[in-house]
Parts: sequence; C-alpha cells; structure tokens
Amino acid sequence: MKKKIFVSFFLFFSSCSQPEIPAGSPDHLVQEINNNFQSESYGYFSYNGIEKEVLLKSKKVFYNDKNSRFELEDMAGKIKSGEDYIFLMAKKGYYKISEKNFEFYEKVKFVIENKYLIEGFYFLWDSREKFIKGKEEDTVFIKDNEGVLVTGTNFISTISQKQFNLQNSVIQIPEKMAEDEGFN
Amino acid sequence: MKVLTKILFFFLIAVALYSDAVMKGQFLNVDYLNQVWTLKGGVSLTTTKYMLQTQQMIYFKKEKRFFANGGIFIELLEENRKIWGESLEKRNEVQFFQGNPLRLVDKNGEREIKAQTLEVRGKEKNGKLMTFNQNVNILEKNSIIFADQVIYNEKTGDIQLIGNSSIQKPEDKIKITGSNIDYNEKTKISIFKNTPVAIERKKSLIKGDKGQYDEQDDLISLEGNVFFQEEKREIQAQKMHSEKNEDEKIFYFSEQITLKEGDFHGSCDAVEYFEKQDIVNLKGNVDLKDDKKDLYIESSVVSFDKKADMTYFLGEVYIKQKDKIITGSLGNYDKQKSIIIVKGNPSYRKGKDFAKAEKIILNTETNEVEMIGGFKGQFQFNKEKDKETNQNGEKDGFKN
Repeated sequence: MKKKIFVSFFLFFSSCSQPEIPAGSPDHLVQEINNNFQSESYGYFSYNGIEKEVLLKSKKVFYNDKNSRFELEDMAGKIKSGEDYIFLMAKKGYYKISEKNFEFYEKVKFVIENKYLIEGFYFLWDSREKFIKGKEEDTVFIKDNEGVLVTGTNFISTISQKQFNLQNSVIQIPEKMAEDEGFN
Repeated sequence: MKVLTKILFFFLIAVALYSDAVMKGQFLNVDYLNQVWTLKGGVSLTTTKYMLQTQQMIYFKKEKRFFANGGIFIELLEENRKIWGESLEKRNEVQFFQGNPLRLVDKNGEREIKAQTLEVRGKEKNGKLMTFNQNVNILEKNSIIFADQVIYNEKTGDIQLIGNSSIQKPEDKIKITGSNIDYNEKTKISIFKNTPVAIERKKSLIKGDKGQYDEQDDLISLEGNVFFQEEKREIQAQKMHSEKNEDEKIFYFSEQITLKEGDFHGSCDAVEYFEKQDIVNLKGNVDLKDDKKDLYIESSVVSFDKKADMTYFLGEVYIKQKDKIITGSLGNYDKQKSIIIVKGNPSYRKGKDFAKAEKIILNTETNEVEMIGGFKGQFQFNKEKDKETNQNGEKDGFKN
C-alpha cells in the first residue's frame, strides 16, 4: 500500500514539475520521415511552387471543394529552410489554395536545423513570410538532440533568421549537461 | 496529520529525485544559428546548487556562459548564501556579480557583505575564492570590516583585506586599521605583513610595522616602530607582545624603548604593563625625567602603580633634583604628596656635601631633603650660601 502511495505521489509530482517529453529524438524523426518518403504506402503530394519548397507525402489526399483546400491525412513532409529542410509529420494537413498556407493538425512534429524536435497540436507554415507558428494558447514541446526540453506557448520560428520564440517558456536541462555547460 | 506528514515526506523525496536545471521566463528567443538563448521577464533558473531570479538572461551556448541582468537574486543552496545585485555573468567556474552595491547574506543571515563587484572562482571541494571589489563592507555579529578589496577563501577561512582596510569590533571596543590585513575567520587571527597597522583597543592606541592580532584571546604581537598610547602613557619600542594570565593581560615591550608615563619621560631596556592592575614595570637601565620638577631618576627597576598613584624603585637607585643627588637600593615616590623616600643604604650629595641615613626623603615640590635615622654626613658651610638659603626658606632637615 505504502509503495503504491509513494509511486503515485512520485509520478504525480514528477508530472507536475516536468514538461511532457516528446517521444523520440530529432534524429529519429528525420529518419522516420525519410523512411516514409521511400514507403510505397504513402501517396505523393507536392507543392513545389517555383522554389520547390514543400514536399509532402500522405496516406490519404483529397480535395475539399467546399473549403477549397487539399486535405492530407497521416502525412510526412519536408519544407525547405535555407540550406536545410524542416522535417515534419502530422496526423492532418491542409493546404488552402487561396492563402498558400499549410496548416498541420494533431500530433504535429517537426525538426528544424536537424537539432530541435518540436511537437504540438497545431502549426501553420506561411510560405510567403517563411515562418512556422503555433496557436497563441497552445503549448509546444521542444526537445533538442542534447536532451534539453522546452515548453511554452505562442511558438513562432522565422526560418530566414534562424530563430524561434516562445512565451511562458520552461527549459529543462539535464543535470549532466547543466554541469558541463557551466550552469552548476 | 499523519497523512500530511507522509505527503510532505513523499513530496520531498520527489523533489530530491528531480535534479535537472530548469529555466523559466515570460519570453524566450532562441537564435539557433549563433546558439544564443535569450529569456526575458520574470526569469528564473533552478539547479541542484542554486536558484536564480532575474529579468533577463542570455545564454551563449557555444561559449558555455550566461549573462543575467536587470536585477538579480541568487540563492546558493549548499552555502546557504543569498546574493542581490544588478547583473551576473557565469562562465565555467567563474561567476562575476555587479551591483550598486551588490549584497551578499550568508551564515543564516548573520553576515552581510556589500561591494560593487564580486568574482567567485573555483568549486566547493577546492574552496571557492571570492573577490569583492570597491567599498567592501562586511557586517557580521560583532564585527565590521571595510576594505578596498577583499579576497575570501571559504575553505581555509582566509580573508585578505587589500587597500584601506579596517576591522572593527564595537562591542569589544577594537578597531584595526591598515593597508593590507590577512584575517582568518576560523582562527580569528589578523596578520599584518610589513604593512603599518593601528589598533584602537579600549582606551589605547597601538601601532606597529607588522605583526598579528589574536581576536579570541585579545592578544597582540607587533614589531617595528611600535607605538603604544593611553591616557598619560606613551611607549615606543621595536617589539611588543601581549600575554594572558588568568584575567590579567600583560603587555611586554622590548628594544629601543622610550616612554612617557605621567610627567615622566625616559627610556629602559624592557617594559611590562599589567593592564587590569594598571601597573607598569620598567626594567634594565631605567632613566626617567620630569622636566617640570627638574627631577631625574635612574634605577634598575621602576614600577608605576597607577591605582595607588605610587612609583617604586629597586636596584641601583639614583635620584637627582636640581643640584641634589640621592642614591639607594630601593625607594618609592608618592606623587600625591610629592615625596620620594629612598631606603637601602641611602646617601645624599649636594656639591661637596655628603650624608648617609637610614631613610632619605626628597620633597619634589620644595626640593627639601629630610634624612632620618643613623645620620652621618659632611657639610661645608658657606656664610653667603647659608644667608641665601635661609632667605629662600630652604632648609634640609636632619632627624636622628
């Protein structure tokens, strides 16, 4: 009984004090997306435009005439970001022809600079302004390849400037890294 | 109640197990090209070793350093130390604080240190080295320390005071002033290495070129141009040290001694000063002079008993006032009555006049001499002189 109480309290307090850890790592996600691109079960959707900046594959693609948008399900994608790509996975993706924006919903994960794995419920890629952002009130989880975890709201990354911003941010640095990086 | 205790217990265990560093802020900007992280607004950083609160923090990841500014507060958990300031720069094992002034509080709130800057180097196991700069002020229980710069080694307890420095103990009425003082907070010893020091202690002022002060036993040891001053007392010597004998404090002076004691000034080979009894013993080749009374005294030993207002002479006693000389082997001087009594085969001489008695008394106000018991003498009578002395009312007395 005591053990159960201890474990439940421990889990409770641990969950209170630590952000939710995104599954996998930036490297794993990039690998998974690359695998999906090679998979035959994924249909191909591309929005190349002139710059060929967005390449997407999904298991389902259809055009929603009412909303004038392409709807993708269970998708993986690459968005050109300077020399590198933003690698992205999402349960759903919408491309509105009129706005030339991509919206990604549900279990959205993407990697920037092969370094930061970002996870959230919703993100929007603005192909004209070249930024990707979350909803103001949505919590975003970020994990870098050194094990740093960041949570916050109102995520926005301006790709050209190679920066991202968050509000109400909490950064968790592993103890070993904190020691090595001179925090302790 | 038991349930609450259990909850608290498990909570503490959970907190202890959670040992990562956590940073929080209203706004985060990550420049992943240059690897610069900027946190703004209500920023906090919690690690296993400290908790930092500030308004802005910039983390330069490549350089493994961070800079916090806009008012900082840091609580160092292991040291039980808190610091308030304007900014903090941390690079590897070096932390640099600035403030106007910055304030550090530790020892369960019993010590407060103020300065303009603080540099902390090293890790706990080797002893952190803390360097405080500009108008450093350390306030602790019964002590106030001032210095231009203070270097503090937490492990050894060494506190190096550089520049204009002072250690004050108001309750003990002690103030030590010097240019460089090495103080150890564990041994409570201050060392003055070739730096002139002045110690104001109770009613005395003590100066020297180098030496040390033991705060616990209130013992002083000084060398080089030692100067000791109290009300109506000055002693100059090359060496001085003090010892404790039960509740008495004894000061020993040696080498090239000159002194002033009341109306006397002179020299001797050694001085012992018993502070509580207020007795000063002069030893070896003592010579004393009272210019007002034209009084000169030589003796092997002279003892001033200030409480009894008596002075005692021992050994080869030689007393001269004006043209009268009295010698003997012991004597005493009652300053209230202005009388010196010489015993121990005393003799009197004035020009060619010579006498011996059991006791010779000199009145230092009138210059009259009284000889008591076993008088023997030889006097040359001079009519002119007798007439003159009688007119002046001067007359030496003889009692058999």
